[in-house]
Amino acid sequence: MTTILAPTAQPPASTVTPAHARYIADVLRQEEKLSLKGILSAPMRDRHICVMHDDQLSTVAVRDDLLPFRYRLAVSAFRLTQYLQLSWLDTTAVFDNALFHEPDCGRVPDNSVHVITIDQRSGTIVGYVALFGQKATSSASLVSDPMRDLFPCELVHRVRLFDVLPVDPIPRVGQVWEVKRLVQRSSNVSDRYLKMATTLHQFSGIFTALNALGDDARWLIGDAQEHVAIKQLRMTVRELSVIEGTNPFLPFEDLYWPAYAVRKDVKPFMARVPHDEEMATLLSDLRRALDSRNLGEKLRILKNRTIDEVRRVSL
Amino acid sequence: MALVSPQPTLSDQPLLTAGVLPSLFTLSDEVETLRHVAHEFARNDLAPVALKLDLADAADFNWEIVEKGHEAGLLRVVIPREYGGLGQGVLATAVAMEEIAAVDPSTALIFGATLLGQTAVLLGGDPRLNARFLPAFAGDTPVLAANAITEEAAGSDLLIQENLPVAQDVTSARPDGDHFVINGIKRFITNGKVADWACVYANVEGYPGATGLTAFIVPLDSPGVERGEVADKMGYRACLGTTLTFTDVRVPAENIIGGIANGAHIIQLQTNQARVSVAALSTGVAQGALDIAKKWVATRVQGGMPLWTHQFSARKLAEMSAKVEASRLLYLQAAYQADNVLPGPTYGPAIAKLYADQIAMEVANEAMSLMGARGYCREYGLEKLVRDSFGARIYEGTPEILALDIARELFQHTPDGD
Repeated sequence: MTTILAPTAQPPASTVTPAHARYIADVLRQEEKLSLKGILSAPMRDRHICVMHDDQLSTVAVRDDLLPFRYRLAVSAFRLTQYLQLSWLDTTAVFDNALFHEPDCGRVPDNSVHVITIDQRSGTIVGYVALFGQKATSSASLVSDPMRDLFPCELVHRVRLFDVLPVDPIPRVGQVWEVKRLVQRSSNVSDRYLKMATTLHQFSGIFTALNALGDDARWLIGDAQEHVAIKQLRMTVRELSVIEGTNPFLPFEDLYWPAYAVRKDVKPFMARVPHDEEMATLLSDLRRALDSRNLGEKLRILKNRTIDEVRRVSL
Repeated sequence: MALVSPQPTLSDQPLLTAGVLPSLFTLSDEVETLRHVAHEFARNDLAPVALKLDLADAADFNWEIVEKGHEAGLLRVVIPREYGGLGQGVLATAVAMEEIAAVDPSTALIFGATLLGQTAVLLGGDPRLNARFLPAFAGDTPVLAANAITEEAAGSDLLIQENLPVAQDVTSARPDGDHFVINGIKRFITNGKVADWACVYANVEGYPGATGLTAFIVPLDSPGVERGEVADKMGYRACLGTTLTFTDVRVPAENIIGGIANGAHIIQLQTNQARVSVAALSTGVAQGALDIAKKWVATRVQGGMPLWTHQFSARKLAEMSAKVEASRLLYLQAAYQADNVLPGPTYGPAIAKLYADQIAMEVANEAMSLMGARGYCREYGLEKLVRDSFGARIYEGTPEILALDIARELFQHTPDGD
């Protein structure tokens, strides 16, 4: 059973020195050079849940335990550097611990699926999202089981999502996936077309992977800002519910505590994963949008989709 | 008469570990895997282009072959696993170097010089320095490093402890706030033209001679770094030896490896490890020359008999084989010591390098005498190895420098020679 912590009083005092700033700059610069071209190579192909390409980007979905450690490090370095650029990490802790990737990387491969979008020419990551699944040993429990492990977003918001929003039938823990670390390379922001193409790749990767998981993917959960990821998710999922009024936080000892200090309006959500005909239509729409070379056309395809009203629940 | 297989051997580890003959050495599966990978790279990717690389203009650099070697993991052999590397040591590096050098020592040195720069960072033991400079090698795009010791004024002063107080015109490092400002000229720096960064040895101002020698990691795109002309060399032509000029190059203090005035110590540790790899590299050159000669004397018929059955040829082949075996055994022992003794030993690597560099020239020379005019022609590849065989006597310690180290070790504990 997972413990939920209470917030502590004050954020730690930050002592940023020039050496500190140079360290961060070097870590960022180094990550920009990391290429994962080989992830598309023949020896890796059998490990992919799915892979998709357009004329510039490729997206691979691969289970954590099948990703070579070297690539897991690169993915983890990308996540760290993008969070650094968003000021969602404790930079003092990054410097003090000589971090160049997220610290949990590689200790024990978990049940996550990495959805990695890379630039075909350079091999650098331009977009990333993880689908976090609980470990296999607890996947058979029902989400109503009071002893089950909580998902990360439930811990941060101190809420048991499926207690607040009961669903029928009650899913197994293994049928629930949390969307985590939905990030794009910060340099994408200045290029609207690339930003949109990367988003489409990320969503195509998420749903192609969920489709491949079949009955083991029934519900998608997570937390995000209303005007960013939740807005994008609306165009793809069904029965999207958002919980209002939580007070998300991480203890100041946690590397990621600033992520909930600098962002406002971060809400937990849950949504049903489309199935059968719904999923086929969604994947087809995403493919058409990916293939279109016109930014307006890409947007039109998504906006023309049937979008459910968001259900809101206040705590 | 055909040559029988498997061949008798004293040092061919794959054959020995296959149980054909017992061995004092047991190399780990990881080392054998790396040997296999390096062998495949050398034979399949490098051999078809080695002569082309050799005959190209002095300043030409072939990234394609580096990329293929990098795919095989050859640029991250010594990088610890937690930074995405193979986490291997001197022994694995040396074994890989021999395999590549048997085809082209010049390409082996591109990888070797990078591992040397990485070794300097690792010797410092600073996790932040590691985090800033090592993970890039784990990506799929090759990154190269360099090691800059040799000065414009004197090539070997920084390698001789006794010369440090009297060394002149050494590259200098002036403290300036939380930075150092580097000025000076380094010569014949392998990978200097193409590396991302170099470990640069400079004397901190205020220390006489080179007694304040300090190792700095210098990104080679820093303002004030000039990558000069590429040396037009007799051999080792695929790797570029370049002059690096530093004019008021500002380097942050945190780029120092192992502390101020600790450079001579870092050089010593680094050099003792590197000499093993160079010994392996020279052994590879000798093995490569022997392989070419063997092919020739097995099929060339004179007086109605294959050349190898003639007494003069047999004598040459026997001596060449003995030298290659002895050289390999020496470097394996030195590598094992270097991986297991701290600080790294001086004697074993120096002996191994002295011997290997010498026999590389002798074996290549004898191979040419066996092949006659064909050996003198470029298409057989031997002529290139003959030229290459001279190279290793110059870098990482000339025979004279090695002799000083060896003699010092011989008399260190018993000055009267007893």
